[in-house]
Amino acid sequence: MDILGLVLIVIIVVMGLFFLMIASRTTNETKVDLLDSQLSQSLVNVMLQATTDCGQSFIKIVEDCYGRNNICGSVNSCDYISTKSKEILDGTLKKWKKPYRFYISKNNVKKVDIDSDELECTNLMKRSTGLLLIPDKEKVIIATLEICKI
Amino acid sequence: MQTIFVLFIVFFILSIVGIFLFAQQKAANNIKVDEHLTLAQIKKSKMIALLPEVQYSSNNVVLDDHYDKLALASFKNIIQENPQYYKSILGSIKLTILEYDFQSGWSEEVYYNNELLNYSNKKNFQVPIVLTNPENYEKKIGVIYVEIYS
Repeated sequence: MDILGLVLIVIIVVMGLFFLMIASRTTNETKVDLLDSQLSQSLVNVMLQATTDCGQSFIKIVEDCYGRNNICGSVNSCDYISTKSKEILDGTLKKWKKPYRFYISKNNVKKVDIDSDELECTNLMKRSTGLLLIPDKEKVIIATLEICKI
Repeated sequence: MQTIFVLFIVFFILSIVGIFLFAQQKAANNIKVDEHLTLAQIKKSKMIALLPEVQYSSNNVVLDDHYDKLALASFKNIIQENPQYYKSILGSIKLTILEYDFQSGWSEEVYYNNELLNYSNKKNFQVPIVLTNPENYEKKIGVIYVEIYS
């Protein structure tokens, strides 16, 4: 009967420690999310303002991806965005061990969708999102950059 | 015998709680130190982003997150000519600027390096910027990469 009492005490102490552990975990995660969401927003803003090697701004090529798709001559605008975005994001986020996903959509049609390959951004991971809205003939093109938390 | 057994279990539980509380306190202290370092990171990033030596302005309006490429080229010489001044405002950091060229890819250049030899903590942060050439208004993707030593 005494043993039963002791077991009960042990269970209560273990449960108490468990709740303390959970309560102490939240603050640090919020801070990391804030820094990553700032980074993703700035990166998507900066990326789309850049002047490309075909003389057009990146944002014009994004608009063209949902239009004639030939603003850079023979190169397909959507393919150009995918290749160059991957190069840019692999050289930054992937290098810093931050899994990412970048996609451009208009009216729920995604024409560009890239990620950090083996550094996978799974559905269970928390995401910090940066968005850029580009007005285009009554609809809006949305460029989204998600940085996932490992 | 039974009393000794009960006392032994009670002391065992107490020692486990003691160890846990000690670990908890240590983790809380680490979080506080980390918060101070993050605050220092944010301060430094704002300070670097607002350095008048490298800011880009259009029609006398200073543009946020834009760096003047020509001013940046002479910034390295200015730092070398005034090491004490920059040491007092930047502290123990290593400042690298990454630049993306659509033809040749990423390149990096170290602008300031005051690395501590015996550092106990090293943190890094990244600030995406637009590198604008005022001669032809060409905009390139750049990233300020800062390593803070303490």
